[in-house]
Parts: sequence; structure tokens; C-alpha cells
Amino acid sequence: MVSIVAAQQGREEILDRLKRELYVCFECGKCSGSCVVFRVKDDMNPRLFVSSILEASSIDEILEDENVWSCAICYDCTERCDQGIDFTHTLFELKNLSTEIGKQPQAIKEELATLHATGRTSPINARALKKREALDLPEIQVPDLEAIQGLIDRVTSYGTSEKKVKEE
Amino acid sequence: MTKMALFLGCIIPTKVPKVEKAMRLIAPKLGLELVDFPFSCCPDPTGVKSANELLWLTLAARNLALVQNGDDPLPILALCNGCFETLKMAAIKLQDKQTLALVNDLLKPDGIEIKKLPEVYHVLDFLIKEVGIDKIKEQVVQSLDLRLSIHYGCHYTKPSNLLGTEKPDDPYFMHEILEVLGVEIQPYLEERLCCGAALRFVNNDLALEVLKEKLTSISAVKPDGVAIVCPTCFEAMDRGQKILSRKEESIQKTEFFFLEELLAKSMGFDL
Ligand code: SF4
Ligand code: SF4
Repeated sequence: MVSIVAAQQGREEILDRLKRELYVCFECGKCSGSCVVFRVKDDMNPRLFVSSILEASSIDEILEDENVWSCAICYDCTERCDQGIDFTHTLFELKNLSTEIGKQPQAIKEELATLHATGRTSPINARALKKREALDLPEIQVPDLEAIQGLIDRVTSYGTSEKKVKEE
Repeated sequence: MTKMALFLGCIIPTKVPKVEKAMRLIAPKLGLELVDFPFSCCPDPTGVKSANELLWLTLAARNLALVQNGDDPLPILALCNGCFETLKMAAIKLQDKQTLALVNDLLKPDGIEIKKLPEVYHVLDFLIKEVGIDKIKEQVVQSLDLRLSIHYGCHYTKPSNLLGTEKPDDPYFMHEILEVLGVEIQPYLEERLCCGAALRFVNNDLALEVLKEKLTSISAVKPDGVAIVCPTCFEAMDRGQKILSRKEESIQKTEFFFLEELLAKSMGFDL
């Protein structure tokens, strides 16, 4: 299993590691054959994506590909690969790196903003409370919002400060 | 009575509270005492994890820390594929001592800590593995006269190596339960196909293209409805079918039934 914390490494190190993980690909194409997105979008081809990462000269070059964000996260490529390549996770790492430089889709920015503002990604609204009342359900237990916000801030700044240390 | 922490997640209590209601109604029948905690969202294993994996892990860890219960953590019951996957994967990643130390360090200012990792169950696995099909059968008072197709959803079974899924290509627990409830099961070609939910907000047109494959296959067998165990799949499929059925002749709208709802009905509860 690869490292969870992409932010703890410099971008060159990450590219080297990704290449080491993907190097065993023998281009069988099982990942593409099982990819539900490839079925409907022919430029989202996991096998070719793996090849393009192996040939890339920088992370930023890889992040130019809009298909970094075209994964439905169904895990079928990972399930099918006989070489143990976890391509779904490779894409997670790339999306994390894309977010770090502000290239994430608007919807992701909004989801994170909602999470920070309300402590959840699907906030509690008046309509929800009404439905709950009609069903005679107990009050939703919510965490202390300030604590959640503090934790989110700590985590997001942890990544960057660590990275700064590495880059210096 | 088995005591468990009820993990409702974000979507069930706000958008489909009938699932929560059904679970609370059937719990005592199954010998379960459900305990509520001030959990945050799980957080979701697609959007938040795509943005920042460490944030995803730490928020999940905070939820795991809440059920510590001294050094005898309460097992967690998740009613949503996404919550299950997040909490279970986080618990597995936190078996690594270094990762656990890092996360505990981040949690420290809030005075919480993970000492022991709790068990995390998907409601479907819990019903089959811990409650057992015989006990479920004993509680059924009304046979359901329905012909249903089944959608398990990706994040219930995959990634199988981490979630410990026995038969990722051929999940069958819902089949077993529905049979006991008297449901006739209607197979269809794309039973294992993804519903595209994770793409909805990032690229809705692409999400609908994916969903079209799934719904066309369901429409072809004309079931009375589709049995599900995930509120995210529900939202994607139910909203998506409204858009797709208007422009695609091959897609007819269908009804979605949550497992908890079907169980409650068959146990005589009027929802
Ligand atoms: S399934 Fe694995 S080995 Fe085959 S092409 Fe895809 S990544 Fe390469
Ligand atoms: S996880 Fe993503 S890339 Fe892999 S098969 Fe599914 S949609 Fe395709």
C-alpha cells in the first residue's frame, strides 16, 4: 500500500515513486476494459494514462490532463490488475496534488467550503428537520463546529508546513 | 442486546430519514441497542479524499476516537456504503503505527485519542454475519409481494483487498435477505456496474452517461423497483433517472427501496 500522505513528499519524489509503482504495468489493458468511464469517454483510458505517467517529466505535466478528475472511483481497474497496481489510488494522489495548486473542480472547492462552514458535506436544513419531526426522530447529534474547524485548519496547514520543510 | 454506535452519516438523517427511522424500529427486534454520538461527516470517500487524503483520514479518525469507550471501543454500524468504506479503510490504515501517531497528534488539541481501533460494520454484513439469517427470518411477519432488482454499489465491496470482501464479483448478502422477505429477485445484466455518483458534481454530463448504462439495463427487465443499501447511489440514481427518462426512451423511472425499509415493512412496521 502506498503512502497516504502525498503532501509529505516533494513533487519530484512523488513522481519517482509513482513511476516505481506503475513500472510493473505490462499494458494488458484489463483496467481499461473494466473502466466504466472509458466505456462512455474514449480519452479516459487507464492503460494509456499509466503509460503517460511513466513517460512524464513532471507532476505538473500529468496534471494538465483533465482526466485526472474523470474517475468514477469504482475501483474496478484496481480490482482487475494482475500486477497489483492501484490506479484508483494513483488518481487520488494526482487529485490531491491538483488541489494543492488550486486546479480542483469548482464543486470540490465548494464541498470543502461547506465542510468547513458546517462540519458536514450535506448540511442540516429546515426541510430536513421537518421531515425528521414528521417521523418522530431524535435530534441529530452534531460535533462542536469550532473543534471541527480547528482540526480541518490544523490538517490543511500540516501538509503545507511539512512540504515547506522538505523544499527548503 | 449488542451495543453499537449508529453511524448515520450526512445524507441519511437529512435527505432520507426514513432509513434511519426503519433502522431504529428494527434494531430491538434484532437484539441491537443503538447508541448515538456527535459524529462529523464520515467524510465522503470520493470528494473529500480526492481533495486531501490526510484530511479525509483525520476526520474519519476523529469519528473512530469518539467511540473509544475506555479501552473497549463500541463497534460501529454504518448504513451507507461511503461511510462504511471511509471508516473501515481509515481503521485499516491506522493499524500502521506511524500513521496512527501522526493522526493522534492532530487530534490531541481536542483532548481525544485513538487507543484501540473499533470494528466497523456495513449494516448488510452485520445482518448476515452477526445477526444471522435465521434470526431475521424469525422476525418476518409479512411476506413482500415485490419483484426487485438489486444494486449493491461499488463502495460496499471494493477495494476488496482492504475491505476484506469475500466475493467482490458476486456479492450475495442482499440476495439472501430479500429471499427471506419473500421478494422475487430480478437479475439484470449490469448488476455490478457503478452508478457514477462520484462524478456528479465534478462532471454531471459524464456522470449521467455512466448512469445511463446502468439504468438502461435495469429498465430492460422492468422490475417493481431496485433494492439498495447506499444513500449516495440512491441520490445519483433517483435524480439521474428523472433527467434521463425524459430524453431516453430506453429508460423508465423505477422505485428505489432501502434494505432497512424493506426489513421494517416485513417486520410489520408501517413507515
Ligand atoms: S490492468 Fe494493470 S498491468 Fe494491465 S494495463 Fe492496467 S495497470 Fe497495466
Ligand atoms: S476507478 Fe476510475 S479509472 Fe478505475 S475503472 Fe473505475 S472509473 Fe475507471
